[in-house]
Amino acid sequence: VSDQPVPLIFRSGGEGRANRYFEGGPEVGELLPHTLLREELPLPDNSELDVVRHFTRLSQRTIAIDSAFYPLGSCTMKYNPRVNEAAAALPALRDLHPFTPDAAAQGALAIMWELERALASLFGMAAFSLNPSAGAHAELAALLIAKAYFGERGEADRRAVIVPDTAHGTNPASAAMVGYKVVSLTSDERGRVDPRELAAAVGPTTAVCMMTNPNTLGLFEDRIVEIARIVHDAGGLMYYDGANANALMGIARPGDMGFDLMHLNLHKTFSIPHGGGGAGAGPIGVAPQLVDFLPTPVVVADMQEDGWRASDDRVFRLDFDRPRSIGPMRSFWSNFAHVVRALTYLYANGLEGLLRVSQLAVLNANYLRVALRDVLDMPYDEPCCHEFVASAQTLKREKGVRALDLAKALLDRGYHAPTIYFPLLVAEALMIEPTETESKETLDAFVKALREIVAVAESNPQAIRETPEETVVRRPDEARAARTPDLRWRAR
Amino acid sequence: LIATIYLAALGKSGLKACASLNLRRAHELIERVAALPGFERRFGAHFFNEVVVRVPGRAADVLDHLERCKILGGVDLGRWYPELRDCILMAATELTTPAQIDRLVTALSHFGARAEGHAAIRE
Repeated sequence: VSDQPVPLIFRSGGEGRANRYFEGGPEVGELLPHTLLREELPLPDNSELDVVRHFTRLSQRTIAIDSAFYPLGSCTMKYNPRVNEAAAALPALRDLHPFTPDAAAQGALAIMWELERALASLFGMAAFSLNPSAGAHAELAALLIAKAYFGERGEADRRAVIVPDTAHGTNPASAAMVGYKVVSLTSDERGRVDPRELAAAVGPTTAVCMMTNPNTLGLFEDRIVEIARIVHDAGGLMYYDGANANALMGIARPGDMGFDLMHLNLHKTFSIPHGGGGAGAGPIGVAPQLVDFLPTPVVVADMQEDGWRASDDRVFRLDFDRPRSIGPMRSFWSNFAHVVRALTYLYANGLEGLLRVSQLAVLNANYLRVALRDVLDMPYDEPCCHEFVASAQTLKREKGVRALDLAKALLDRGYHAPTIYFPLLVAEALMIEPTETESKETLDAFVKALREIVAVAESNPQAIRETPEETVVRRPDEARAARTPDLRWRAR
Repeated sequence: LIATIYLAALGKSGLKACASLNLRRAHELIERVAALPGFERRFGAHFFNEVVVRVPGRAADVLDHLERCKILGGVDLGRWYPELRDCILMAATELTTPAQIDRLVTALSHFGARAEGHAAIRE
């Protein structure tokens, strides 16, 4: 990739370069008065080839799962199978308008219904809603359901949400958004929720306990059944943050662990491209007593009276008439293309395939953990699930090389950096999630690179502190970029 | 990202041509539809590429009829505005072809004929 800057597309092109997609555009003066017409349109005219080259060059300056190993902990950056894209691009699905009458959209409704049923079965919940657009959005939906549920039971005083320090960072934010109060739990020396501390924290104001399992340290909460019993005995609900569901498929079900509410990140576990921050998809699942509160609409299947073939005996419709529902969480019904991708992935793998996905995700993470345990600190050095958290604390203390520096040095060697400085309870954290789609050769090469970086850090720490050298941008001023972002281009 | 690439590919002149074509197709569509007996524009203001059409009967019935002709004819506005139960929001885009408009007009004219027939029987 060239070091030369890519000029803005506004700086290229010129008169007469336009693509003639629409020949002979008519003069519109007779159809609209001039007061309704704009005079200026600050867009460049470029040939299609120049546009393709421009965006290809920009894409080459972006690390992606298609170009490099991407062990970004907690984000499940797995390969996005091309067959998902083929299914989502089928014209009848791609071009479908959400207001298409149910009778003319039976195939699409069947896809939504089948995904909903499959997720409910795979994760042990009574029903799912495909409505929320992403993880945090789903957390908000689930907490609104909890609030409606307690309100209906005359228990509106339940406003406390228990969040362990191994839960996801969005959990407390979602709780605050519905007006709930956050009670934080410190994890024990094994990096897990301590049932005794939980028992002391629950009470008549407990609404929900939000947990991730495996938790943010990549550790399975092995006392989850006891934890759920404590919360339920106090009258609260258990919420499962599905960010780490890639470790569990076909192995364990949140519903069986005692969770009443959960979400999934289809863009993590179900191999949908992360898209640089969206669009995502965050279905929520609920236990039987909460089904009526799910967002509207819900796809329902009415049995046809004289149907006899399994594929022919259902008529699908969007049900908006749900008086106990919290209502819609977004415009229209779901990010439907993602529903198609997720169902494609689910059917392409089957239950046995999904089990193997989770087993390999766990195996790959443990392989890396063991291969790196003598060069990085492992604050919780025991078998992990799909990810693990290492620490650069010793390197920082002895050589002044931080987790940030190791992450930057990895960029020079062609890798995306792991998640760093999260979770907060581990100092100088490096959170590494390889996913199941990486080969042993890739993992070995990554281990070799990281071991070399640590070796350099020990002999010449300044060299690591000055990385990256090979990237287009080296070390941006992150504080200033976050405080005074300059994101908008203006003509002249 | 897709929208950015789309705008870059169209550019200033392409976007203008696209918008002009939208405008023209929508005007062609409404001129043809409003010439049918019983169909008319519900509002008189300037419009761009979508327009509210009053139909002779319930919008839902007209749309059902069109669906049987394999045409998705627009949005039944009665769903949000009960006073507009006899109104359909119709739109045309740069992808709408004159042949499609012909087919819509033919289908609507059959609905109009049948509605008049029903009225005659009742009288």
